[in-house]
Amino acid sequence: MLGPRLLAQATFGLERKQPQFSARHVITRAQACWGLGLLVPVLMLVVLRPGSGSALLTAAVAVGYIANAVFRAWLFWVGSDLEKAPGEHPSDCDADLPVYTILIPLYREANLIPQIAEALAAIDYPGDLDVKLVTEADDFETVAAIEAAALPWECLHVPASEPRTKPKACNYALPFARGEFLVIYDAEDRPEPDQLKKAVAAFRNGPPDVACLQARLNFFNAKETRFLTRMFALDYGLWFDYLLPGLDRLQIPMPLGGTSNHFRTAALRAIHGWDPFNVTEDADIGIRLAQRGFRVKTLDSTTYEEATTRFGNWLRQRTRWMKGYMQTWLVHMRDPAALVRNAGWGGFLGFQLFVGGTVLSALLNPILWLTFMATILFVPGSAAAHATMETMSVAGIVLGNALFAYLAMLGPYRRGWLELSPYGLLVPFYWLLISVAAYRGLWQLVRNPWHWEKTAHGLTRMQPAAHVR
Amino acid sequence: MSPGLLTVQVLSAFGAIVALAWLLHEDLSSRAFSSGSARTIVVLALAQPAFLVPELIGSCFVFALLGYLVGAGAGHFAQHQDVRRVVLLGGAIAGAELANPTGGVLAAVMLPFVLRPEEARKDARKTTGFLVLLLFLPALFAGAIAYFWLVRHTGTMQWFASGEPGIVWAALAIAPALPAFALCRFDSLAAAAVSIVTIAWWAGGLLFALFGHANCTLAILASMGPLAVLLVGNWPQGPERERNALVATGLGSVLSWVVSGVQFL
Repeated sequence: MLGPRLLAQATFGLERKQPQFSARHVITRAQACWGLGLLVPVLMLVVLRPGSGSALLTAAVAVGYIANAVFRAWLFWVGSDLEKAPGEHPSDCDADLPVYTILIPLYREANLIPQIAEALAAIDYPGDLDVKLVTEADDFETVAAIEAAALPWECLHVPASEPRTKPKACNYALPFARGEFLVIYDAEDRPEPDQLKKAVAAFRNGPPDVACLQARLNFFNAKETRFLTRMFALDYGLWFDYLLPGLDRLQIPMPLGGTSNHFRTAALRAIHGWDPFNVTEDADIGIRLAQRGFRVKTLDSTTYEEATTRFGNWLRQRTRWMKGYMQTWLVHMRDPAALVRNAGWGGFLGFQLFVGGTVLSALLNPILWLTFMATILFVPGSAAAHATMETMSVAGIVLGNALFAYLAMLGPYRRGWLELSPYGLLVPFYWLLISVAAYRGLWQLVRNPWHWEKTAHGLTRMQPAAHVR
Repeated sequence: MSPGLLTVQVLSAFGAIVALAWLLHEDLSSRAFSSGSARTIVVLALAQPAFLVPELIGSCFVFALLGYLVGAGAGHFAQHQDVRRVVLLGGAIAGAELANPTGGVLAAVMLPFVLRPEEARKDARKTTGFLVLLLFLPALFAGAIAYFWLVRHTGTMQWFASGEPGIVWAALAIAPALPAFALCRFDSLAAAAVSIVTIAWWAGGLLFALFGHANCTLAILASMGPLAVLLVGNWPQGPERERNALVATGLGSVLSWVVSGVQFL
């Protein structure tokens, strides 16, 4: 009897208690009206005055694109202030360590069970570890692999139901968590051995309103000789080593990144866990914590993951991320006044630029390229309008992409992976791929908003232990 | 140039020179120079003929400032080698290219071999990565300069050659390099880096001057003053340091006046 109740709680708990934060409904009526109210005049302008309308639109797109790049550059600058970084030291009082819950949601990952066992065995935490592997009940292969491995940890089976998402599995496991703190790891993760001890120290030494710590993520197969893994490593280097610390310093709501999120379990329960209908539940929960007056900080410890090596896999993952960011933006913009109240104007603007801007940049990028090509092939309207479109699209492409490329090149600097920096020059091409994922995500948001496109792991030829100096 | 505009330019440049003097004085004081010596060295370094010619003071000061910023950026990176200093140094070189393309390019070519981080010295791929990282902004600016020069037929060099004011160009030239103002103490590697910048800046400017832009000579001489302060500031501490620094900057200043006098004669 407990199973169905837990399942209902895991699936609909947030929606029942705080429906305004649930992504079950993609868009509200008010948001649709606002959207149409903005779109219709723009379309009318372009139709009625094609020359000046297109020029104005191009200028707006270019300015938006460059603004996002400049905001990221600013975040990078703030986040790169290493001299002022506190740098947590692992808690040195082993006797005083609290119970720490580790949740590892698994789906069709039977091949990774030995890797999980190895990674967990490497964790240096003398306190009580409350490890829970969370699988879908009908994922027989993974369940069988866990049983065959005879692992000493608890395994929870989530009854099969929709939406079949990671946050729903985590919600299902949350009532069983015994730890004062709780962390999510993915199946292929390799956290640094002292990460939990560092997290305990950071929680205890930090302000009491810190509800979550985001560890840095990077890839153990970053240097695999594939375009995608290297670009991914640049991306993560920039994101987790510089941009998120920048958000942390500026106290802008921080979208969490997938794994290695360390929570105070009580705070997690207070906000009713994850949103099972949001496909980037990590990003959403970071913003939701800020909306409830909690703070999210970064933790100076790295978890090494596996960067996907295949384009199809990469595209599915990126599509989900883009769709999830759209969901997150829509959810938290249902009541912009509340977001301003809870996060302040700085937090509100930061949220627009970081969460909204990430999606918008990916959507705008091909528009700039197309506009530029159109100005070469056609001369729409007056010469002045043509010149404006040409100048603005070139400015957007050159300045925006140059800044994005430069930031990507700087991304691996902290880790000394300088040999990856030249790949930053390929960022304009990588951004076009991200744009494909963004449009795919937009399409899915309309057609199938909760669909979770599974990223397959265990495809790399590099051994996790081989990571990386 | 109208007398009013000239007055504004002279007053602005004079104010900027005073600000730079204060900065240099603070820098020397932080390196254990006595206040009196620091003050004398700064006055000697900035007592340049170019700063007494109303028509040239603006352009020559910007020229000198850019050289100083590249030197400061190089020294700063040599000491810290963190990611911010890569950006600052790259930005400083990029900004310098607008005023002194040859000097900027020379600095860009020579500096990375001195300033490579330790790990990059052992691995050619890391060296390549570091070069790309450091030279990205200068390369971007070089592209922009070439575009404006070849397509739009405009550039910054004319201003430095003619002494005509161009506030927009001056702002453009300084802006990317300004953050390098965040100065701190240099070590010996920093001294080497500053020396390279000084040589590159001087050689680049000289080359330009050789092609008939006489005013550029004054600008080069003026730019050597602040760079000299950076250099003497990095000398190892010892009983003779302050005296040697005073003599060196004094000689530099005398040389500057002699060369200027010869040129006018």
